[in-house]
Amino acid sequence: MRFELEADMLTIGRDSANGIQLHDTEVSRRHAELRRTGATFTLTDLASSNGTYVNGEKITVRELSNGDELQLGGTQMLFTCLADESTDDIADKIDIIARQQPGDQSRIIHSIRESEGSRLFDLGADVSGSPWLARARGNLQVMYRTALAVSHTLDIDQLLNRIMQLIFEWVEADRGCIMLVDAAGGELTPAVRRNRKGLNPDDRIKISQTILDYVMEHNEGVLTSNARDDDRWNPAVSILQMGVCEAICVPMRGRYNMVGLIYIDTTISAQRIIQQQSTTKFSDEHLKLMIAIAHQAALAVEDTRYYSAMVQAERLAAVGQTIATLSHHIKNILQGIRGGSFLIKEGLAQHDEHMVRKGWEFVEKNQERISHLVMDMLTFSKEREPELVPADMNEVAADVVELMASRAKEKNVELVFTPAEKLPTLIFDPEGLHRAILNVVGNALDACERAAVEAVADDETLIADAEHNAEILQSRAGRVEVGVQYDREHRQLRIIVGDNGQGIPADEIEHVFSLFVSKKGNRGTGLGLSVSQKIVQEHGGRIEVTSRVGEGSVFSLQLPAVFPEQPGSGTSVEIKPK
Amino acid sequence: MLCRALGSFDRCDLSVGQTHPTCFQQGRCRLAARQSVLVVDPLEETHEVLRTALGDQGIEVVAARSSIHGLSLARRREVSLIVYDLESDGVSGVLTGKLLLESASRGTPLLVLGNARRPAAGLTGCQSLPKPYHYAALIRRIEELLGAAEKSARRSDARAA
Repeated sequence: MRFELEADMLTIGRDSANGIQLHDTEVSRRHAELRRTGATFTLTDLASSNGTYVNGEKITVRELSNGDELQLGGTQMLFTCLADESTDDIADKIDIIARQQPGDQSRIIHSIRESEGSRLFDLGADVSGSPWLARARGNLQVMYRTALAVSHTLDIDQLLNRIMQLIFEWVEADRGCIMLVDAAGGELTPAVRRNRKGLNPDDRIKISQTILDYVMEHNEGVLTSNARDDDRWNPAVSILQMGVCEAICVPMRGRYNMVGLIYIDTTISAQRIIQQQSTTKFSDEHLKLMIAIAHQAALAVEDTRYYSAMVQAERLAAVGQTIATLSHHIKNILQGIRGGSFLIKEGLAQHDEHMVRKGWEFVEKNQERISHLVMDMLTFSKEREPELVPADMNEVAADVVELMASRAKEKNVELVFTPAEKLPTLIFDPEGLHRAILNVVGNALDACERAAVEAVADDETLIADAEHNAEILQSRAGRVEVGVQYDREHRQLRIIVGDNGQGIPADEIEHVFSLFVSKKGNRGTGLGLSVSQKIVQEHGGRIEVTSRVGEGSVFSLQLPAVFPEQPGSGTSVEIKPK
Repeated sequence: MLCRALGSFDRCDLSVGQTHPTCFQQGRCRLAARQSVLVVDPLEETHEVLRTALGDQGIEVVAARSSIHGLSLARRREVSLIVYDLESDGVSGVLTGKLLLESASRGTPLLVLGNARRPAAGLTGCQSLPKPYHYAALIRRIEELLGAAEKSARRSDARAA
């Protein structure tokens, strides 16, 4: 969840009176206060029971910085703010000089692709004379590749596998693993393990609990060897019998917490020790670089976790909004059905057939509304492929017009249909496009009705006189024109729906296809046009809208004309137009 | 003709011929004046149900589907009660409800349909009926409010007298 800090002062707490309400029983009713002074935010603990923490430190008053982690009870929050310098100021200080203007003397001398950046570390130049320089460049390349690896994925498992792969490419380790701190219990849990090629993949990695505890407790990387005289790890096995086992274990310290640790080890055989005259394979340089890699990995793990949490929160918010919106529409439909059933009941009691009929009309109307709602929801929610078959768009559009005729009459709207001439049979999903056109036409009828109602409401001489209102409504009679057009030259099919309704303000046009955006109050679900757009887009088409407030709107559903294939030819051909 | 609110002339405690110009039987009883309810609700079903149920009791129902229309009617008509659905004007329904309340400064009671406890509603203290409601309950509330409105009007008249 994200809270925008717009007020100069707001409180945080469990009580609903707080600017930020936290549903957390460990948070006090009025837990803390956030106060803004200019661009600075100060957090003050309001004598809360469980205290207020910033970056793990208990505070009474603390000025917040970008990226600070706040903890109130069991709730963690991240404070983010813009840089002190406003973007306006920055814009004022940067001049972009137009082409061919005095002052622009710069010329492009050389350009390389972004992917070439890693070649910076290629040993092209002669560094053989300086082993230190060669190692430094090698290490820099490892860090560069680590940075690239962590920036290219938001999947933690994938990320850790890449890190481990990089480590194995760079250092001669036999086994390795990355362990992450379990967010719930704080326990270390293995996330990734890897064995050097040639080793038995079923070999178990044995890690000393003492080493793990030391690394976690002291936040230090360690290099261990059982060949050394190190009383911490209690080496006891004979080198000549078993070889030497070396290990590096480094903490993954993020911005705020310990995320986990990386462990690698290797066994140096007795034979190799004799050949190389050395009992070591890992060095302090390996350790330092491992610490740097682990820090990069920890930052990436933290970022990925925050991102996942944010996505999850947004998903939950979207689900919540969907449920709220649908419940609202269903509630209104239920209200309509109750109205209908009330009239039926009263009509039956009073033996009034007219009242029973009226009630039944309401029940049927609302049954139709819920049917449309369910169909729109299904169409919108399904990841579906259109069922493409040869069909006649004139027939589909004519069917919509016929279906909507009675509704148009009820609303005193003239509904006119102009079919396309010489329209060929084309490939499309007739059922899907029927729904798409139906929603657009329904919308057009409602727009005409709203325009008429507003004319009645705006009439200065308005009186609650049904006849007078009817006169105004008649003078504002709506008109909806549905047309099918076939553009042979551009191989495009267009279904045009124009109305003389209230029109859409320019700044609202871009939102008409947004989910759950409706101007129809409780009668609009905000699904209709979104569904139409989805269906048209599934056909590779688009919907264009032009509108003028007070004059009306035109919706143009544009689809690529796809022709049925001629049997055996494998190519698209236009069949004889009707 | 009977007093519509009390069902009888005898039970009407207002004096005859004094302050009752709107009485059905001129100069006799103001309670006999026809009561009217302004219903501002986009649902046609609500209009029809209330017309049927209240019309049987001689109560006139004036209906509006939008709050703009409703506000206009409220300013022009003297009504005994306003029944206002908060969703009458989509997003700005709450604001229009407030205007309706202000326009009813003559003391016309307001019954809000929907959630009137929203902080921005400005309708604190208003009579409300959450949705979805049963029409029998709505009709009962309207009858109660009309009765209370009449009693209040009678008290005012008595004090004035």
